[in-house]
Amino acid sequence: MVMKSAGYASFEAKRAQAAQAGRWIGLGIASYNEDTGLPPYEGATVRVLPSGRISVELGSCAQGQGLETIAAQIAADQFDVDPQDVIVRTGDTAITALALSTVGSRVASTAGPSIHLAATQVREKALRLAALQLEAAEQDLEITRGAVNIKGVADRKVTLGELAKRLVSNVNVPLPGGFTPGLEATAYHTPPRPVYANGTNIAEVEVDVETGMVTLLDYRVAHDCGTLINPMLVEGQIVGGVVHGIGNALYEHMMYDRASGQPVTTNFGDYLLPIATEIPPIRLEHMESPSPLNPLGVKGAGEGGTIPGIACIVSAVEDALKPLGVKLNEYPLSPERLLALIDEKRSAT
Amino acid sequence: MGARNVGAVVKRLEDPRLVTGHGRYTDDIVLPGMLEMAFVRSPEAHAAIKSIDTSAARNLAGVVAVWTLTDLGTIAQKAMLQSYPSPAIKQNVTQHPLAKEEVCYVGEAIAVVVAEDRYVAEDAATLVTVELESLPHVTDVRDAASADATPVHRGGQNNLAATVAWKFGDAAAAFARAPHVFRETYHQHRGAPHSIEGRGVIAQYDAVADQLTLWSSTQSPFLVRRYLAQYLEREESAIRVIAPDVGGGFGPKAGHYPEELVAALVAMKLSRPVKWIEDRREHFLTTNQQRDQWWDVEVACEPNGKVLALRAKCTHDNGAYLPYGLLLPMTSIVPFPGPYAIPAVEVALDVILTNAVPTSPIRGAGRPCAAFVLERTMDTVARNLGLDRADVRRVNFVRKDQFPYETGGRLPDPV
Repeated sequence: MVMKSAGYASFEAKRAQAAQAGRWIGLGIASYNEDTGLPPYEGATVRVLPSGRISVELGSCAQGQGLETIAAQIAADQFDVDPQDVIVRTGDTAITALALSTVGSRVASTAGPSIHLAATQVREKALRLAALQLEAAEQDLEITRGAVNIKGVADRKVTLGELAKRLVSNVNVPLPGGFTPGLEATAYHTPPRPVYANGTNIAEVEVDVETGMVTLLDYRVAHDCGTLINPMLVEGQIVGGVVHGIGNALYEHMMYDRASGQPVTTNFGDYLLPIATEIPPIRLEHMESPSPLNPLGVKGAGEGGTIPGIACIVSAVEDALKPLGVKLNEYPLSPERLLALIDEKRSAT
Repeated sequence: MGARNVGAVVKRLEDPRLVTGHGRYTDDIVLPGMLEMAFVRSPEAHAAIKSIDTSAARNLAGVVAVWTLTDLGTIAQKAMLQSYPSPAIKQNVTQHPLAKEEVCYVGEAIAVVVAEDRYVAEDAATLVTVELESLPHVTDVRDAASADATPVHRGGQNNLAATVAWKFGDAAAAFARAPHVFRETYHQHRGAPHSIEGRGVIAQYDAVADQLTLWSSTQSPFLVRRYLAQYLEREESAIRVIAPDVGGGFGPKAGHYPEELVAALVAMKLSRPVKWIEDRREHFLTTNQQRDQWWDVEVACEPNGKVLALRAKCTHDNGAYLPYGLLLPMTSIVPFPGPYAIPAVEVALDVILTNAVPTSPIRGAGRPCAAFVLERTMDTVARNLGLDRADVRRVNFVRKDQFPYETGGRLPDPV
């Protein structure tokens, strides 16, 4: 798929045309699979508050990925409310649900299913209590905009807030038979093994053989992280990951002086990070093969952009220099290093 | 109803708060009576600490305390806990909250200054006189791995922190009968994480309730609580760890660090809240980095590029300590053979100590290193046999009819 959109089959013609204009272009390919969603758990508590709003509490935390948003999306679906109506708290050991760590592309596919499981349990409890109150069978009930109603009879309803109040109850007011306190549930999705994401990247680059400078012309990603909870956030993860790979392949270089043992790249003048001007168009093609190993079908997306990124860019630069026979067994490819390798080949011929 | 929201483009609920300046990062939190810390750090890659004179620093107005490891009490005389113990670890070296007799990389914390604000703390830190006796050092992983290498830690016999090997299939037989065998050496250099927000911690101790609270710019509040409880010999229920808004992590914020322990100990000793915010220079000098790896790779293949066997040996630079077990180097070898159905694989790993910043996983952990080696190998096969790079990959991919396909190595339990 991505081979076609990147123009792999016709690239030799493109290269020949570029060469006539004195330009050295190359195409790189790299594929990967990744064990994401590492066991054993990230817990979630879902609660209907007396106000009727939904609360999600996660011990897990985010560092900018958008965990609050996907948590709200997953919970909102069980109660027919908008994600904006869900209150999300994260990253605090005072939260009931146990958690471990936001690492290894794992939180969406561990905490995510836990939220789904907890929300489903709360929904079932709400339906069971509403059936008592509305004197109806559970299967005749539905949840519409945060209230339980008899299917097709919109005004025979009880709001989730009213049900929540009934289950917190008060002194000397017994709970309905068979009910535990609180319209809430804590759940853990406990996968026994990771779920595998995979993909292929293709980069097109141009190398200035006089200066050793690499310019990224185009970057394409075809990847499969299972069900996309929020395509915009997945795109952010993948693009950010690719940029990480670009930094590693071309710019970032933590150097130590062998003689003195001193680190010599300790500011952003010496240690280069990629900025917007270095980043080519990054085009994504999502493939969605839902994982059978969790109820949402999700796999991790946080690292999939980075994993093949370095390999892909180095492959492209080597391909651009194919006429010279430059072999690249290292990174980062600084202009200085690349020029030395180019000159080595040129002086040998 | 149904999956209305899952699968939809929903704008980030976090953003109205964050983009209007209402985020609350660790440095935004100001507690009444809060002090700030600065650290005196090693200017040398390897040295013995002969003496530390804190008197001039202590006399500066606004300075509350200047402490070395001894001052932190008996509880802090032990090394930090290993986050990820493994039977494969031969030298389980972790740091002390502040250096004990020896510093093993530039940036290692030697003393802490606690003052009314960071400016005073930084000024006072420059007044601490540390007498160091330089020791031989080694920062290049190949030097450190050699038989007559300089020891990274005084008294060390060698710098081999761990060695791991695993294999499946009969690689020896495959190499013996393969029409083509190619060998290459690859180098993957050290990199750093560089989240926009560096590390940071606030510790507060309520002596009446005997309750310790930490706000930390972390990826793992529950694990930080676990490590604090074990190190400080407190119940987990007497510690609360909160990750407020965190401006990027990329892996190194998943572990626990000396500064978190020092903050907790200082807050408990002084019964006053204390803050430390990492500056960018400290991020370069102290936050875990990744790799520096050398790989020796041999591939056996058919004339059509079909790989019959792969042998790879990785020499991994783990820096001066093992703060995070073997997770980074192990995730460099476990993904083999990636998306390819290679019938015989032998992978070996040497984890080497150097006088450099410790390493731990950064986005992808060791997987980008494994992908680099595997993909370079596919390109090598194509180049040497004059084959199309895509065709070489096609003949080696796990085929549809092979699914579900067991791939990769198995981590020793526990890693």
